This record gives sequence, structure tokens and C-alpha cells, in this order.
Amino acid sequence: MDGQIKRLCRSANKGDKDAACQLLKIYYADIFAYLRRLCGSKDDAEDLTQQTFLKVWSSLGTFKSRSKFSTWLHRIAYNTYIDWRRRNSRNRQSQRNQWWQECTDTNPSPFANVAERQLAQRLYEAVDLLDEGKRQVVHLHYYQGLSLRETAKALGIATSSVKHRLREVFKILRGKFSFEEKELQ
Amino acid sequence: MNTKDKIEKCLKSAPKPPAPDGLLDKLQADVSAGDIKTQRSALRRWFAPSGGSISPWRVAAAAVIAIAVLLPLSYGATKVVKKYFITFEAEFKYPEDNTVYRTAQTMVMSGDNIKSEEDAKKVLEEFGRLYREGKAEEISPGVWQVILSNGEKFNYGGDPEILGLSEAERKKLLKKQFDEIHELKKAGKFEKTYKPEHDYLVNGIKYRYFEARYVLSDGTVKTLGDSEPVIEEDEHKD
Repeated sequence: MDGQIKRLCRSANKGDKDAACQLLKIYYADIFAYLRRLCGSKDDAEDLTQQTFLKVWSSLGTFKSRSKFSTWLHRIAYNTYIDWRRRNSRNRQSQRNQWWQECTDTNPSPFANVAERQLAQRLYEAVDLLDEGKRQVVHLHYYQGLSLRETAKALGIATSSVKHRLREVFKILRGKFSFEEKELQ
Repeated sequence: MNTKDKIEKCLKSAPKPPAPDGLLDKLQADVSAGDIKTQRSALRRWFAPSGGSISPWRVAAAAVIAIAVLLPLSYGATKVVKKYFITFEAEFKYPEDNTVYRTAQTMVMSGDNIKSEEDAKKVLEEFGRLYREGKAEEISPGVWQVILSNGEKFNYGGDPEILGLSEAERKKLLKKQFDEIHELKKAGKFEKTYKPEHDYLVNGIKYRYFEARYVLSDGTVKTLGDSEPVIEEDEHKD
């Protein structure tokens, strides 16, 4: 897969539009999902996905394959989101992001029962209430499936910082989750 | 399974919001709209018209597209209308602080009696003369109308000052304007409006695009595209 992606990147970089479209097909849904979970609105996520890929095409020449293409792509998506967030900091407060409702209503649920699903939803809600740095490591590492090293590269921080943030995240979520479990029992 | 494992399992199995219908088509259309390797926004093409990297000079750009139409046009009939594009370009350098201003005005000319490039140029010259004689009427903001010598009405939207001048006269007029703009720029006497949708990257450095609005001493308002580097970022480096 990695070899195929590298070949597609090289071809796209030479102006091969079919290769660029292949890359799009492979990654656009992941990038949309990442941005959709972060920004709280389908329309904004769509715009941000479009902006992300425009930046990708205009700076593809600077991609030197030192990291995986997907990591680089997530870094651009992250920067695009951060720029958008800065510009929309006032409006953002009033947005209530419940991306999981959209998904669980239409997709098969990975959860065994309603109680488990509700618990998961409360967990996602708790993640969205984390500060931006912690939220990002959860989104990239768990939701997007990036490794710790890739998450660090995408965020432009050290791998040790990612680990530290995750430890902090677990401290917060463990408290919340234990409480929820007891409540359900 | 301990609590941490449960949380991890739950996070890893988070549902994926589905991409909306039509998004892939839009993204593919963006790819089709330009050559990938050289794909740059109109702004970047403007900044680096010869391709390659943007020159180290700080560049401010002003571009105007003017529409000129001869009236009356024959409405209601199907016919091919030939259009003529006439472009004036100029560049002014201020080496003391590495600033370059580029400006271009493109007139799109069409009308029943414009059958050649020469016809288009003659109409523009006549418009310029009539404008300077005070015979042009501003029929709506930025749109001027004159009655040509053959009795036809001619509408023009754009900067009327530069029409009907020789190239040397035009450059002299623009130079005077850009000298003043440059002084206003140095003094910070202009209004900035950021247009983040036009931000761009060069060699890993992000440039923030903005429109700078200058009010000249004669009341003329000039809006120029400009940009500034965002120093803090090393973004998009892989």
C-alpha cells in the first residue's frame, strides 16, 4: 500500500490528474471524518476538506516522503482546521457537536447494546470537552488510527508529548468512565 | 478488561461520519481545474508569472478586469459575439525596501461594430478623450457611459483614467499613483482586509493574503492585493 501511495504521489506531482484522483479516493473520506468530528458542522467540514486538498495540490512538490503521505495530509488538515478555528472562535462556542449521532443512526453500531452505545457517546462528548491539544491526540491516534509517532508529526510535537497528553486524557476519562459505569450498574 | 482498555476499545471503534454525496466530485473537479504540479491560485500566478518560486521581492499586485460594451446590442437573436481582450500592464519597483507593484487592466470589448482589435482600440481611445472632456456619465458606481461619434452608446466599467493615453502617459500617471501608494504603505496608512481563502505556501512558508485599500490625495481609492509571511509556522513540512 505504501509503495502504491508513493507511486501515486510521484505521478500526481508530475501533473498526473488520474493519480491525484486516486489519492483523493483513498483519503478524502478519512479527512472529511476527521474534520467533521472536529468542527461541528457538515458544511464546514466539507469546506475544510476542500481547502485541505487545495493546499495539498499546491504544495505537493514540497512533500519529500520523509513521512507517510497520510501523516502529511493530516498535518495539512490539522493546520487548516486550526486556521478556521482561530477565525471562528466566537461562533464556535455556540455550536454543539454531536457527530456521533449522525453516524450511529445511519451506520451499523459497533456497540453491543443501547447502554454501551450511550456510554460511548458520553465518552465522545467528554473527549470533545478536552482542551485542544488533548482532543487532537485522541482524534488523530484513536479516531484516525495514526500511530503515536505519526500523531506527533501531524501535530508538530514530540512523540513524548503525545504520550504525556494521552496519559492526561486517560486520567480525565477514566474518572468519567468509572463514574458512568457505576451509574449504569 | 480494565477501564483503560474499555476506553481505548470505545475510542478505537468510534463511528466515522460519512462523507456527503457529491464531495468526491467537487474535490475531483478541483483537481481537473488545474495542473497539479504547477497548480497555483490566480494570485500565485500573478505573483510568480514566470513559474518557479516567488521572487524575494515583496510584491503587491493590483488587477482590474474592465468590461466594456457597445450599446445597443441586439438582444433576442442567437449570434456569435466576438470579444477582444486588451490588456495594459505595468510594474513599479522600489528597491530601497524590495517592493514591487504590478498592475494590469484587461478590457473585454464586444459590440456589433467592433470587428477587429483596431476597432476596439479606437473605441477605447475615443472613450478616454470624451471622459477627459467631461462627456462621460457615471450611470452606476464605477460604470461610465459615453455617446461615441457614430451615435452609439458605450458603457465602460473600470478605471477610466488610463484610457485614451499613450503608453508613456499611462505609465507616468500610474507611477505617480504608485509613488503615493508606496508612501502610504510605508506609513501604514491603509486598510487591511484578510482573505484567508487566498493564503498560500512558498517553500514551506505560509503567506497571508490581504487586500490593502489606499485612499490617494485626489480621493481615488485603490485596492491592491498584498501578502505577508507568517513567521511562526513550519507547517506542511513532512
